[in-house]
Amino acid sequence: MNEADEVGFRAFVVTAEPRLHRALVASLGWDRGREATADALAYAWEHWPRVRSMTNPAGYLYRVGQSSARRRRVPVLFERPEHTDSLYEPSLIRLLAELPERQRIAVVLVHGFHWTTREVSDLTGIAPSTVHTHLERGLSKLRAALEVVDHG
Amino acid sequence: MADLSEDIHSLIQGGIDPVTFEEIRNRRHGLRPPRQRIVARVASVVVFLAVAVPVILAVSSARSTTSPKAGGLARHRVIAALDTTIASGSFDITFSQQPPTSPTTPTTTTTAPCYQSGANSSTGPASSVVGTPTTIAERTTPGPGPSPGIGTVAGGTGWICPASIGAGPGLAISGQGTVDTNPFAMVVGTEVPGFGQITLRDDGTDIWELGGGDYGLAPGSTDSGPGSSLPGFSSLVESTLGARQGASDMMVLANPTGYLELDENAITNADQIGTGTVDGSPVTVYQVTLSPDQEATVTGANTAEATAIQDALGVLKQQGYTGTTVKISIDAAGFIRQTVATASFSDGSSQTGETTFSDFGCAGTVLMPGQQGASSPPPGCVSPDTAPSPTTS
Repeated sequence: MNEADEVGFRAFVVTAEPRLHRALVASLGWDRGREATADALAYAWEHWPRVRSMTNPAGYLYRVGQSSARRRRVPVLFERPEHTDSLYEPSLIRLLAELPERQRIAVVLVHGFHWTTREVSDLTGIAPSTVHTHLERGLSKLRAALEVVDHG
Repeated sequence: MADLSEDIHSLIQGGIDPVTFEEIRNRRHGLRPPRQRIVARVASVVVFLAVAVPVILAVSSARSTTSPKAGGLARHRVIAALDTTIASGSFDITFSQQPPTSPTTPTTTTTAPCYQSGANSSTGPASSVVGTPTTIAERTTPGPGPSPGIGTVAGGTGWICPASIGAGPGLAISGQGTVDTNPFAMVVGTEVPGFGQITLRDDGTDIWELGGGDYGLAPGSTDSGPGSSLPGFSSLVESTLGARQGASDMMVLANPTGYLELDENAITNADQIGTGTVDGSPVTVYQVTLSPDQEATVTGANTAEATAIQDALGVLKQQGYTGTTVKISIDAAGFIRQTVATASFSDGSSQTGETTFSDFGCAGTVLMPGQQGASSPPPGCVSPDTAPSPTTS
């Protein structure tokens, strides 16, 4: 990679890493999401001429990250050490991890990171109307499960 | 519902430890090794041949008169015209810019990088004379080093750190110039309200500004000097024109094709939107849309140009820049005759610049201060845009 390519790649990382990282966290949890982001960006580094010419390189790298992460059979985890004095319902960590992947992605990106359904669609390649459906179904499941927790 | 949303946000909020560039560079990606990938690809091809080919054959036999996609053909024509125009070697330009339109929501502000006035690129990489916002904070304390404000521009060697540059009202400016594409050299004369006539010479690494701040000129000189770094010029441009128009202009100054400001890699789509005339010549008008990501990397940009582009894009993004739509007029000979570029911002503001191109291959050689040589075009040079139209009888 020549100097100009490196400058371009660095600029791309600045722009794409936050979105890519958040989307992969939504899909895979904190640790696997970060690993997958690093894997995807390492792939972009090695294949930069091809990646930079893509119409939606972040969307492509999102799929690269997911492929990379699927080789590691590690559960989706949203726990963090600093979560000990959290303000949210503790069972939410487990319930989010138990959601089907696409529902979890929609719920975490829209309600956790405040993305629009269009932004979720642009990165994941899922149609906006489908993102909306996943979002509603995911929220319904969480509500129902939390109701059980509250009254069980 | 609101409680659940807040719960999710509370769970997810908190800093994400970003993946750093160094981490990426020192890491091997986690995909399958090549042998496995080859096996997988062979398997994919077999599956494709078995399943997809019969389907494709059935479809193609039913639709045997399929034509190329309009978008693909239009993109091909735009890229071919870009190649033709660059290959001409030189062209003249006339341009005009309108100030950004008013936003419909409150604007944001950004802080421009520090730079060292009068720094010569021969003393080191261009980026070495550009400070960062962190540097600004460190050097606003008493003592040697940069301080906020503009005041040591003319031929000086001090640091210049504009404290804060807002979107700004911008200025209606117009001018003319000449661009050589190989090697790149550009001279542009611009009438800037409040500053008068400013002539810029740009060799892709350094800038010489005659008039205005006399950036890059030797102390006391009106037409000579070592030149100063292209990236460092951004602070002056953005403080004069505002962050939006100024950063947009820096994108032009940093582009290896100057005011042509198009890069093949960034043109991923194009649509033919109509016809018209430019300087009396019939043209076909195409439209392309450039995203900030697509503009980040420009083919053939040197270190100074790439740095200036990144700096300008950073400023634009802080301003809510969402991309640029360019209408490109191409004549029958395949030259780009006019571009009308409209940069858009998330607050509803937009900024438009129009550039007309002529004298392809016959614009002459642009000389930087101190350079010797002929600047006139070869005697008898006839540009395709001024050649008499072929007659038919």
